[in-house]
Amino acid sequence: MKKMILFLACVFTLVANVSADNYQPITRDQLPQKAQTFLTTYFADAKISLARKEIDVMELSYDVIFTNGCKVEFDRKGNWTEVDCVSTALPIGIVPSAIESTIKAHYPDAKAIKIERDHREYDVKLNNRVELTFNKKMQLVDID
Amino acid sequence: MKLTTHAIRSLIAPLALIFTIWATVFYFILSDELIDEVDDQLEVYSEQIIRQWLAGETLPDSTDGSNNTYYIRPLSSTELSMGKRVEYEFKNVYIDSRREEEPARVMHTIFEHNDGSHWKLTVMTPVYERNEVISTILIATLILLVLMLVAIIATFAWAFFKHMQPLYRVLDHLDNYAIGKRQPLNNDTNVTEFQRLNASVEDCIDRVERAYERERRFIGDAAHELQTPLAICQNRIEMMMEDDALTEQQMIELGKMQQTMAELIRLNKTLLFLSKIENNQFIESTEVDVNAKLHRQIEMLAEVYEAKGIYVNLYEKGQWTLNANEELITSLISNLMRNAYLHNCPEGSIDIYIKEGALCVANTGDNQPLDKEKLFDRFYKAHHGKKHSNGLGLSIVKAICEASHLNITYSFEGDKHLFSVFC
Amino acid sequence: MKILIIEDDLSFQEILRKTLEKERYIVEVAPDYRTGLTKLSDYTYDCILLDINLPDGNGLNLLRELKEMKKTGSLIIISARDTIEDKVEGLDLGADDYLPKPFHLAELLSRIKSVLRRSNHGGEQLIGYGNVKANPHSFDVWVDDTKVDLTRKEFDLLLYFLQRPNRIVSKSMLAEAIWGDHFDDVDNYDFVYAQIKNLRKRLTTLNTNIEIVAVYGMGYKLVMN
Repeated sequence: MKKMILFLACVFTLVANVSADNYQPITRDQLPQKAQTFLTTYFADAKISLARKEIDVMELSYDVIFTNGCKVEFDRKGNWTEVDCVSTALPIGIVPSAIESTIKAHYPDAKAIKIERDHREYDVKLNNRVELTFNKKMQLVDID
Repeated sequence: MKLTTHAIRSLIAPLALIFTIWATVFYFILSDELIDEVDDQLEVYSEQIIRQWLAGETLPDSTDGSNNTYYIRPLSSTELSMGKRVEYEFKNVYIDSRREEEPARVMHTIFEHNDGSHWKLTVMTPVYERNEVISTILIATLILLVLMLVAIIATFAWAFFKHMQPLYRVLDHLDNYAIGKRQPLNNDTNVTEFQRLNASVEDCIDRVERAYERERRFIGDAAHELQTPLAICQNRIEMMMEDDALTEQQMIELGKMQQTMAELIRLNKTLLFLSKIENNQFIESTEVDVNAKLHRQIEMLAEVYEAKGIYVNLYEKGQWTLNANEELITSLISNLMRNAYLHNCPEGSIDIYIKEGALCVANTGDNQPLDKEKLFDRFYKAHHGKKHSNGLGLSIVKAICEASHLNITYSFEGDKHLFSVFC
Repeated sequence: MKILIIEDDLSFQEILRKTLEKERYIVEVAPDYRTGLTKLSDYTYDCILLDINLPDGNGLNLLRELKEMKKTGSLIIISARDTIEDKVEGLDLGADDYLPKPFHLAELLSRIKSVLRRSNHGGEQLIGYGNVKANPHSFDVWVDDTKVDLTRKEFDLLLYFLQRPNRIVSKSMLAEAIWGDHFDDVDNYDFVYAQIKNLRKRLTTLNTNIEIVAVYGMGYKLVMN
């Protein structure tokens, strides 16, 4: 009987978790420390329009939208996973130097406006509508 | 209640509970996932609008044909302090394209402009299909649930019944087992527990059989061993009685001793006889004319018990010829008849019915039925203190019936004790 | 008349010896198979009482040996075994009678007389006492050579007494002998008394010099006046 009650409790906690709001507004202070440092480093002047925590069944992520339309996404530890500046160039230093130099070599006039990364690869979008994919070792693997 | 019923009953409750929980959880997760999907769309949509709006780009048409609508309005400081930054709700919204109110999922997002002013973006998408989808899911889940429950129980019942067959065979075996008449147990199984059960049952029957055999042999052996000492004792008394020097008083005492010896010898003989019947030593069988035997016994007993004044009625409804041991059948009739005489009341009566395959003897006597359970037991005496009854007569009748494949029943009908022997 | 008793139970052997000696028989005893065999091969007996359960051998083998020796003499098996098979086997091997234990001494004497008579007189087997003679096969009875008529029951009783003159016969012995095996435990023997009474009357009216007397508390006895 006790086991049964325990089991039921687990089930309802799960259900309650799942059905909770997916996006919760947060303040800058509620971001992981690493994320806060990232923001101070690269977006010192930008003003936050909206910061949110996204809760999924398996993972937790954060995103921050600035008043200039730029958006940064972080994983649960505060590492950035996506930086998107819509049409303006990304702040210098976000794109890893190896990728930066590859872009310079291939498209000297282009600017990176969006970068995404996961545990396998990097995706970089340029303002000339070209999308580049790099592997873990920062080698260019795909051009779209 | 049967074991299968028990097992199925105890299976239904937990299964029903688990399935109900499972279905509830499944239902909630699924319907939540549906909202999630809509919410995700709304989120992407609102993020796009906010960022385009903040970047000063052209906003998409608020009615772009996708049924999604949005509007942005500035917020006063009071509204800002009250409202949540991100909020979802269900609401009936008037949809232009459909020209009616439809349920819709609405998302409010409050964001800040570069100048410090706050704005609220409201995006909405109609979800008129959501309720239908959910009720379809609900019904499908319930139907599947019931089907699954039925399927599981049916499978379980089938498997249980199939695997329990050895158990039922053992039970049948035990039901059909009669002491001293052992049948082989045909119950092949590779289930360890049933193999153990088989072995235990066989072992148990072995022990019962051995005990029964020992008891049977003991009675025969004991009675047999008593023969010589009894003979010596009896003959010594007889020798003494031939002595002319005895006084009359001594003669009387010897007479009484001899009487007691005679009873002892008779008892021993009867036990031997019983033991012989039970050991199937009367193998020879012939066509026995039961009617003729009955006539002879009635004639002889009428002479012997003349003094009791008992009236005997014979109803001959047919001729019974039986293939059996003649000595046993004679003894059977004689014992039945003597029982009827012995336990009768003065001026009583004995009714005898005979037809093909059946013989009934009914006698008046004590006005209460005898104990059916103990009636045929050795040394059972319904009326204590009755002389010249060693309590073995009906045991012999029973043993003869068993040895001759006959049935015997007792009943008390209309103040008469009725014994029926039939094929 | 010489009788050999082969019986391992010494107490029983003693009873048999004393009883037979009292009847003026010459009695020899053997307690086991070996002694029995020696005596049988060395001497000739008119009658042998053989117990088939001997400590050192089966009495039936002794019976076989005896038949192989082609000796004359009757043989009565006395045995505690009382199955039809035993009885049949013994009689098939050539025994003259089979007497299961326990038995009455009067019964034994009667059987001995019967087998001796059979071997001595061939077919002629009249049994007589006093002036009364009876033929057990033709059911004829003579008093002083005059044939008389008796009922079947009267004849059976008289024959039983004639075979056991001067010995006490109890009512239960009579019941068992005349009315059969299954009539030995009835609760009173009035019916025996009634029959005896008839027979005594008959014997008186027939002018016999024998009489059935009642022995108080025990039964009856056939005596000569």
